Amino acid sequence: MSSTSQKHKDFVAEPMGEKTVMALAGIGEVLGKRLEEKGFDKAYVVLGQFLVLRKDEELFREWLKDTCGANTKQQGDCYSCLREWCDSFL
Amino acid sequence: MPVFVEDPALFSKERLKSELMAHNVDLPPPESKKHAYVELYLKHVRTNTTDFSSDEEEDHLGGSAEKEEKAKMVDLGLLTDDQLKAKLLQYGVKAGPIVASTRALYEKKLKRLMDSSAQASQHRVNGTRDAGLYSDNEEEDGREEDEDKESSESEQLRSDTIARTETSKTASRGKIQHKSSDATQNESLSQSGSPYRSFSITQMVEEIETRFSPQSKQTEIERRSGSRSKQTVDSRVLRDFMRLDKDTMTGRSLCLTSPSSHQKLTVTEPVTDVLSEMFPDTARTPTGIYATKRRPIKGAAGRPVQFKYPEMPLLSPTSLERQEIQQRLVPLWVQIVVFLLVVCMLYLIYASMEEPLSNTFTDLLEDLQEAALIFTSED
Repeated sequence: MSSTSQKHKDFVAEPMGEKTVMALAGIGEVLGKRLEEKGFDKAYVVLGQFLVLRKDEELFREWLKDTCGANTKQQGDCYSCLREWCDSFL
Repeated sequence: MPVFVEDPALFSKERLKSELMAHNVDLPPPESKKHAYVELYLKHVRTNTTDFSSDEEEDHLGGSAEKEEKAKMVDLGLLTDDQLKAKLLQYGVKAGPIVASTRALYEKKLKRLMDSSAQASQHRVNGTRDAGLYSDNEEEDGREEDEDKESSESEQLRSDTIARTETSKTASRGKIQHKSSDATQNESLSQSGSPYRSFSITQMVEEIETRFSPQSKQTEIERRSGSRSKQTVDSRVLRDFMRLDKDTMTGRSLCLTSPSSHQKLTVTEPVTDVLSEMFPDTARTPTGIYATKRRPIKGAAGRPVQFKYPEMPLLSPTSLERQEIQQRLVPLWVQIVVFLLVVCMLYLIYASMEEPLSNTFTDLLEDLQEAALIFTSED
């Protein structure tokens, strides 16, 4: 199993509620700010986009790259974080 | 009068007019600015030019290919959501809802699929051509063959899209423009809407993107700025960008990294792997090892149940049931008391009846009573 960061574990352990996008794994201050500017100010909005893309990894990664300029590692972290959250709570 | 300079913007308006008339192109209204003439000139004259010997092949082929690429771009933009979905399904891609935020992504994906399936050889040929700038006869033939295939495909697309409505086109254009105004880095979206694309360079960029995925953001930005500037300028500066591309190619080859698993994710080839068809949702790992889903462990280290789930009761469901049962035991006594009361009432009712019920037992009793009376009366 690949190692996951503390941020990932914290996010996946409980319902996201009103957490900001910065709480997502792979999304830090800079990327979070960019997402907020685009209107994705809460983690659940990014979740919405993830679900609309049918949880497809490639499309979500591409969307993330286009929207906030995330690199490959950040894309992967965010994707796996959201996917695992969905597995547990959706 | 021989013209050595390629730049039609340097032509006089009169010259542009005469050129357009010579090529049987409709003139724009006479009050229009020179740049309208320039655009028309570029669109029509450049694609049919045979005057410039040294650049003939590149311009001719680049122009016609550009026109076809333009047609494809326009087609994708004209497709309605359902048609886009259907086209994706043709390539085996089950698309999700096509909404404002997802449309651009799906258009890009479709374009990539169309490119990769029909023009695999084109990629190779264009790559060597642009890199070398030295035209070979063999390359030329290969290019022409591929363009015949391309032209037949785009004709098909064009016939399909003849019936498209204006509203969908303007809607998609509007969406695309809105998006491109939002993000400066989002020229991938504007790529799908822009009609003037130099196909070879952008295809090369994609090819390079898929093959050598740079890990640093800087090279991404460099690439993006390079590709962005490529689209906004039209084909008259094609050569300049080819030169630029040569530079960036050499630059990029220095920072070349080994193809990573990213390649597998960005290259959209028709899926032939059975396992990935069976389990489309699992993430592809470089080692091929798939991890199982992990459920959060309640009460494990750092996640004591009371703090994580404060709303839930602390007792387990079985103890809750026991409590409920205990609660039910109390009214049970009440039920027994009520039952006894009812029994007493029934007995009293029976006892107070005037005519006793007659049955064999009462008859026997009566007989015994009579016998007893007789005994006592005899004494």
